[in-house]
Amino acid sequence: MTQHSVVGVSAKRLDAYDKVTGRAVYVGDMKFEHLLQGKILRSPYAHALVKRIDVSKAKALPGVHCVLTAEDVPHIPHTTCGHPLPFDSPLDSLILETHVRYVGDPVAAVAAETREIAEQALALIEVEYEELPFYLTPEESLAENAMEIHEGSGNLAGEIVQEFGDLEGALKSAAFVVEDEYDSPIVTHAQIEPHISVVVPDPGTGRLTVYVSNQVPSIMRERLAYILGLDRRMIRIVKLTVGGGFGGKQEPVYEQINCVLAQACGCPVMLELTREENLACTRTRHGTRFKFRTGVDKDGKLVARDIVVVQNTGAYASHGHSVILNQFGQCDSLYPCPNMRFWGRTVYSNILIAAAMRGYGIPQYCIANESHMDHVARTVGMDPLEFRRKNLYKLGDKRNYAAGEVYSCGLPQVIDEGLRRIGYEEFRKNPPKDDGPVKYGIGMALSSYNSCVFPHSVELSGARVMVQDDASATLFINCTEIGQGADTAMAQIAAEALGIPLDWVTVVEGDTDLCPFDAGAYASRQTYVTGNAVKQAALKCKAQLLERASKMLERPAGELDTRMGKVIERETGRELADLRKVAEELVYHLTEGGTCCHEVGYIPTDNALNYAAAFAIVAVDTETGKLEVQKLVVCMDCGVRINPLTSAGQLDGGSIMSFGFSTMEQILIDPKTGRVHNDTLLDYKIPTFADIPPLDTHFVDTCEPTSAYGNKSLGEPPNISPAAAIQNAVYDALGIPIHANPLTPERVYAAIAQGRNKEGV
Amino acid sequence: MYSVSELYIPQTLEEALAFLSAHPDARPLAGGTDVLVAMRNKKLENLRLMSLEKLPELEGIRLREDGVLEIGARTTFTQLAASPEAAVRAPMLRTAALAMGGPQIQNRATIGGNVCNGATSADSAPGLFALDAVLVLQSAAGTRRVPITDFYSGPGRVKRESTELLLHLELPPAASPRHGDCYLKFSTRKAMDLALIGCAAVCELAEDGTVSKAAIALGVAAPTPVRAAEAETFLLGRRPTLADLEEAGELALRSASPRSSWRASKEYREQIIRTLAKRAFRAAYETAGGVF
Repeated sequence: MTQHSVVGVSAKRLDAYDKVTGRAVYVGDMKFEHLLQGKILRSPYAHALVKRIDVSKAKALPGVHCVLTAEDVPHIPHTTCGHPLPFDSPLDSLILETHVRYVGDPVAAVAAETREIAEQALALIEVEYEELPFYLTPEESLAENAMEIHEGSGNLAGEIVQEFGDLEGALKSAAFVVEDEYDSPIVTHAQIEPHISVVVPDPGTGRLTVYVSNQVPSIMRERLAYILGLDRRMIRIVKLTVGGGFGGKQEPVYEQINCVLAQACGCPVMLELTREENLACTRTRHGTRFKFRTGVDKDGKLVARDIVVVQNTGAYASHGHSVILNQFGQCDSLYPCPNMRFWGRTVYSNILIAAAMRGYGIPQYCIANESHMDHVARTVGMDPLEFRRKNLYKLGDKRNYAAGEVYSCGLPQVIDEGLRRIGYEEFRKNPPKDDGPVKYGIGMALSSYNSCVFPHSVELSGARVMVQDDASATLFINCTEIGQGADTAMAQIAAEALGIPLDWVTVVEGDTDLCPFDAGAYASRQTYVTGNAVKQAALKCKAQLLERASKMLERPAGELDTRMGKVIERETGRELADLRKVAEELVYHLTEGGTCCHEVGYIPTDNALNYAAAFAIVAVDTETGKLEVQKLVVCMDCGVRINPLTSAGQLDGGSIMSFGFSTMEQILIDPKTGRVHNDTLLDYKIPTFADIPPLDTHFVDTCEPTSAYGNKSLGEPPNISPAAAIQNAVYDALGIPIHANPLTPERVYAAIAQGRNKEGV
Repeated sequence: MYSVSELYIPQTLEEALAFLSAHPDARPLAGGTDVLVAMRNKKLENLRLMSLEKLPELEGIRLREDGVLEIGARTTFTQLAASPEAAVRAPMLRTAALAMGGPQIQNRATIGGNVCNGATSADSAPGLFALDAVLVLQSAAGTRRVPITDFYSGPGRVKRESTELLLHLELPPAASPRHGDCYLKFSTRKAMDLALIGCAAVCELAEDGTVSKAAIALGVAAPTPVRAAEAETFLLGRRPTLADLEEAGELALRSASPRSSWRASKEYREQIIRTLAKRAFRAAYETAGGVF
């Protein structure tokens, strides 16, 4: 492997100082003269029709600038799903509704001089509702006499059935058939920064500048224009510092409401959600039920796999069905099996909207599938590790379905490294004895994850590199920095390709007037896709610089290269000239002077897989059901790490998020009203720093040939396997499988009590 | 967001008590960790606040010559956790202080506020109940001493007259040199969480090794913190066996009236009550020098 100077070297984030000192500008920091504050009136009912709405008192309140209801705003059925065109979700949404489908569905919006006045105005709006029957679960929505939440949908937002080989035949001939059912909860992103936007209308042209905390500026522009019935040129998206996205900001959520408020008022409006709104009325991970039937031969080899998934997408489809398609995309990548069926359904209900969330369906699939794999292993009488190894994908294995060729696979390394770090063999040989009511267990789980959405969705990423007269460079991208370190990684790639130090690169990003199209921050795609665009654009600039250097040094360009701001002899690495002088000459040459700016739009033709193995040791208090994760080991193959420092941050952060998913996080909904019970961070539990278990994260070295510098996906994969490893460790400790997460003490205790009853103890 | 009609900052205790007499609607403000949250949630509006920040009578932790430990009402949880006097008298006070909220909250929140807020989930309450703390309240009319076990009247309600200010809490000395205590908080998270159940136990041993004081106090097991009287009576005078502790855990349920809610079922809360009562008393007993 070539030795790199910038890529693969830990670098401080470009925004480190600004964030630590509080200078980073978030949307909430924006100041404008006459900045109005927006507020949304939301349905108190899970399912209802607005029969009458009277806004006259609200409008008359001093300080109120506008009050809008459904009849005042464009009525263009759309999907908010933040994917590039064409639309891949049902067009089931409107800006404001007269048919409200969950508690929190927007009915009216207000802009006023202060937030307090806006809130008072909301209280003055009189609405008469006609309540309709409501359904909170797919079972209820799909019941025979259920009313349609969206006309003509049958309450189904999408369905996929894929069959390979002869499933039923293989199940019949299998030595063992194991069936399981798992429930995964609705969880939320809980970004530190709630959803927020400031929309500034141009008084002359009506053009809207939308300052926003969002992951997909290019898509946002297209989608807002569509929703508002405007030409796309009438919208500019400016993404500022983002205080967390995790998929929840991969679509317009309330920006469209803010746009119509700003249009109506003719002045800037800020719309910032409260913490409660952010938890109860934005986006979530899908609550999902999985059913598995797995057939194994007498040697423990998988012969049949039947996977049935039903997920609850809530009131509107948003990303809905794409999430199940992503599960289908991964269901064959770890344990290929010739006879297989995948049947997935995405079902409407009257709860808040499920959409994209870090891992896009795979964390819940992993916890169910890996838990089921342990159950199958135990049924066959094999150690879960041995069973996995027997059925594990190996480079070159045939798969029923694949998004692309696999060129790099670090599965054996992540497993071996993880086993060593957790002390698997030792634990198995000498399992810790029960400590009074406390039992101990060890568990493992594997995961795989794509590096983009190829070949299912448009995967274009643009990058423009502008080299200045001192060989410094400005990088223009709409590849979005949302806290994950994308800016720094892209700057490193640009610096490496140009052969300049990292601090010579400035990044301009997230502005649709300045930067080329990029599908955005999702699918863990950016370093894989945008990284290639940045590299190619930078290489074009470098070629131009070397051409000038060739003339200056009177040597063929092919003999030259650049490194850390110097022109060097390619063969020997000997420094020949200062690259700054070359850039200067390139610009200021009297007759041949020119600019050096190149743009590349890159589309991948492959889709590399990230692999990970997680291992956990838990102690379970059988009198309370409380579990303590005593050690969590996560080993990952993400190819070459562009920035080892921020990569470690991703792996640690994702592992902690997965720990929360495993042990405590869930949105709970009142069955009587459809309201979210826990819309505060006191009751919606995310781990605090005090809760984080002893964590040992590690990367193995592989090199992916289809990416800019050997890298693969890294954003989402850390949030997948740890939860499943914990689930399996609890299974190991108790000898009882638990068919749902999170593993709250009450749920674990109930399983223990039920197990005792079965044993007749 | 925060609707305040007045913020008064008395410079002396006399000024404070006079203000309370004149304005029975005034709300004393110490750390603000309950009051400000209630205001943000619009449960308190148009509030007349009286800050306690300038009143030295409410500060500090003192061990008096008679062995009574005085804890000023404005003592923060951070100060309580750091107090050597408190650690000697009752180590569980430190446990409880560090179990409450997180470091930032512990820096602001005060023990007086925690008690006067009247929440059954207050982390300081079970320990103070088990230690038989006495509250010293003062108004312009005079001083009143109330055992904490008589102070709570319902969820979020205490028997502080609107003209009264809590000055400090008194913890009587242990009657036996062989004493131990323990606070156990059961919550989902290790920080920034409310107790699903909190349980404090105090054990004192007579010279012959029998239990001369058994106190078990529960938070969130009833609308107010409660003492588990039947369990205590059962343990008194015994050299408890492990089976006795199981029995005491069962008896603790008789003093509890947990309810089912979306946070936890009644049955599960009962399991936690019996388990914590048993474990807390066992730890207190062993610290006192008891052996099984």
